[in-house]
Amino acid sequence: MHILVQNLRMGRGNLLGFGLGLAALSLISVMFLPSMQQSSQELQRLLESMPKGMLAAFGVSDQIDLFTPEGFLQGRLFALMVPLLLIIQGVGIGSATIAGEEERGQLELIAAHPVGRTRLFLEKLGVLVVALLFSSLLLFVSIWLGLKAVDVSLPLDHQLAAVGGSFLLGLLFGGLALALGAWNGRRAMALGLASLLAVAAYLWNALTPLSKDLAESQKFSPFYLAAGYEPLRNGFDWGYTAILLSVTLLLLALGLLRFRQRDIGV
Amino acid sequence: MSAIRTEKLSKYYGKRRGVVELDLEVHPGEVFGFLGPNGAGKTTTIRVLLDLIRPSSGQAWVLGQPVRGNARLRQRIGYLPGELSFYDGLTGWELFRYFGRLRDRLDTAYLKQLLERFDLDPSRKLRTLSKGNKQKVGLVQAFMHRPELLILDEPTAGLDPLLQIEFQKMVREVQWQGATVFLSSHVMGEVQALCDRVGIIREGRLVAVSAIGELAERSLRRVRIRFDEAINPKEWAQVPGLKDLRFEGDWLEATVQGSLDPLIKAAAQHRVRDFISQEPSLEEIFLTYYDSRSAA
Repeated sequence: MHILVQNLRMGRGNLLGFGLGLAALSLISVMFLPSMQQSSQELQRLLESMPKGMLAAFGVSDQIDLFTPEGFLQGRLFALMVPLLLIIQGVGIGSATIAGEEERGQLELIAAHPVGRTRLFLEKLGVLVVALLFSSLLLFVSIWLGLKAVDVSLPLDHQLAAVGGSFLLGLLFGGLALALGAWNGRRAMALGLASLLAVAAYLWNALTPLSKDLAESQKFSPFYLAAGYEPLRNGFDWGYTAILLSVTLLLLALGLLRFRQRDIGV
Repeated sequence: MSAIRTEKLSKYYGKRRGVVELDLEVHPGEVFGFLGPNGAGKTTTIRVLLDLIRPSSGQAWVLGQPVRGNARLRQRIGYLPGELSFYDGLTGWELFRYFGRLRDRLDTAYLKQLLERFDLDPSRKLRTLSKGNKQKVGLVQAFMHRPELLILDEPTAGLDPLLQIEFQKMVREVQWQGATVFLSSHVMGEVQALCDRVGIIREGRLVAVSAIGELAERSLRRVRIRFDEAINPKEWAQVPGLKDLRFEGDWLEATVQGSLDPLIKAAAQHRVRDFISQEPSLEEIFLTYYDSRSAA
């Protein structure tokens, strides 16, 4: 566990800053709930005047009723912003912790210690998981406290499901970046490809419902499987979650297999 | 059991040559110098020994065990990379403690002794250290767990002369305590001062392995002597071992093969004003090696 602990220790400032920022941003949205509810009719008219495509791109779809607390928080937080931030954190850490250190030459001296490749990979994965869990925990606590403060009650397991879905997205794309970095040690490639796929997955989820022919394929987007089905309203979907986790594990396994075989630092 | 053994070890990076069919054997308890110009394949060999890179063909053993996938074996190795890159935000202490944890072993008393010997302040952040000081950090972390085998890639790069002497003392000490030292270098002088045997690598192939004495005997030296009197060329033609003899005013210039002794004895018959002896470059050593081989 020494590698995991050391990496977290070296990144503790970033970790805390990121987590607090995410929590604060979410708290502000929750605090807007009462004023939104008061002026819901004017907002509704305003929304109806906007083009659907544009709204969809920002995560506001027909299926969501923006003027319930669940819908409002889905639109403001869980459709885009929170998953996006966790994906940014995940992809950043995932691409830096193996490929980034390798490019800077730091990984070589660690790998020359009595540390096997599998252990090295798993501890680096641990860094990613713990960092995302920490951010998600702060996020969850801030939303829970915020809802208490504005006196809106939502089922606790639904709150957990919403945060959990965003965590899974961070883990999926962070895991992809980690696996890509483990595959060939190029940080820019891991960062770029994982980010690109995350954007594609988001747009796929957001825009396919606008077309009748494509609407069915929305369910193949990881964004739908993690956040698009509105876990805050509907609770955890274990089937979707299992699919997401399986894909994540598959990507990680491929990265690990290659990492065990390949040259480090060339 | 050999401390290091490779058998037909080859490594290609795509089409680029690393090393070619390298058969290397380092005996336990010796200081072995791995000598060659930059890009010859020294670092490639070393990185195979640490299982950082995997050979294209052939095999490598360290302390009697195959290196591939053998993490526990590295418990017994101390390694100094050719290019050092640390976590810059850490202090020396933090780095040594971290590396100690990775080995489940940290002998603080011995570590402090090493820090004192190398005159290194461990409380400073690594990013504030000069190149020479970073090299010291690298050396300390390689020695600090008293490994059975030290693998040092260009160990004295960036060290000032005093510290080079300290480093040489360290190497002799650990050798005396039973450790094996494998060090690479592109400087003949360094290897000559330290090593029992030397392997010469060139363009990925091991071209010679010999005891250090033999190498010196075979090596060439460029010598210039200035006399206080006129020179008689005939006298010098008879001195053994001199080649390319030239005279310029009161300067004599010659290439000496093997021992300098006959030349010095002959020069001592006259008043000498100046004496310059140039250490042979690696390239010259290679050339002599090839000359002597083709002559044989």
